[in-house]
Amino acid sequence: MVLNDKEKERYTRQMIINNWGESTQEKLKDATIAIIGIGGLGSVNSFYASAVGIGHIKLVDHDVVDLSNLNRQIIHFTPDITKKKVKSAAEKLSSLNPEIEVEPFAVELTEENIQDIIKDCDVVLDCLDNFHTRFLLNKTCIDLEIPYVHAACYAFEGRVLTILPKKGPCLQCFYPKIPKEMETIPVVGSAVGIIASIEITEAIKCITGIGKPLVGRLLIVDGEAMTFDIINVKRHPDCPVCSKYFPKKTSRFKKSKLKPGP
Amino acid sequence: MLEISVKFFASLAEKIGERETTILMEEGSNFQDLLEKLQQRYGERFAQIMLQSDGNIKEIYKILLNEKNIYDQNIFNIKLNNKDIIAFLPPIGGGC
Repeated sequence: MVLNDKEKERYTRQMIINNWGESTQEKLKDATIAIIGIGGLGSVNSFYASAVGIGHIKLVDHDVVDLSNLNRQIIHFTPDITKKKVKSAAEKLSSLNPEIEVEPFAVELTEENIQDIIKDCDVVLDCLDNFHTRFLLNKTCIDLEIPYVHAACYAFEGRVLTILPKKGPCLQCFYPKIPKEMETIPVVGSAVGIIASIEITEAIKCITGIGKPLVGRLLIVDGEAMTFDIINVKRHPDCPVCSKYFPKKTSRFKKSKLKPGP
Repeated sequence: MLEISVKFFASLAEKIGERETTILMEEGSNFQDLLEKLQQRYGERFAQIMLQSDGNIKEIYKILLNEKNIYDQNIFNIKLNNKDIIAFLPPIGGGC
């Protein structure tokens, strides 16, 4: 879709980035993303998704805003307490950028509703607080071939991995089994902000095709030591989710017919 | 002598009580030797934190050698080199 004059002005500073221009901005305008979880990660992701001009933003969260959320969930304000998180976020996002469409889903993501919610998305953002739903999201994104970005936080730490289905490793290649869930995870808001800013940058890259996403490269941020490490994550040959989409590797070195020398 | 850096992340760093340490080891040492040195440093609780009942390292912990995920089944025999960095990562799941 063509940009209107207001949009051209609104997005000027990013459109002057090399290789961006109107065509890239139009790609963003035509794109649909789903942000799963409107907590700390979802707050920052949805803010920048709106600001950068992603045309259709789906917000998924069944929870309501609580006072103890406000140290990190920066899209919710004190008067929003007891409001549905998706409603609170949708209000801010539409106010920040009236050019975009925001679609709130005040539901918990389940096997029954996940396909309907994400099937038309170009990218999905994992801003979840539990592995159970993450595994469901991972499997569904792989099966529907929807790129998604995984992110998670703990205290001053965080990790980000971009998953391009059938191209790179998936979340279960790295975590084969569902890890034990923690009840209350300690966290500082500014560290969540770092991780979420990286996550939405990955989503922008996936939509625009600019740059090299974190595919098969898990970024580990340690905000205490302020180190950024990247580790290579390989596809797991027995991954219960994605291995079926890759041809089985047969060894190039068949058993030698040569007899060992004397 | 080998100088091995060991890093613990997230909840594991809290359980162990520090995020990073350097262990000096003899040439030719392997991963098993490193675990024993770490046990000496942190005491009995190190094994309780790290190992399953069958003596293997708990599956939930990812072990990285020089920023590469170790997939080797026979991890205990991996030979260490001077300045190697070993990192232990628990899963983290906060959407916060």
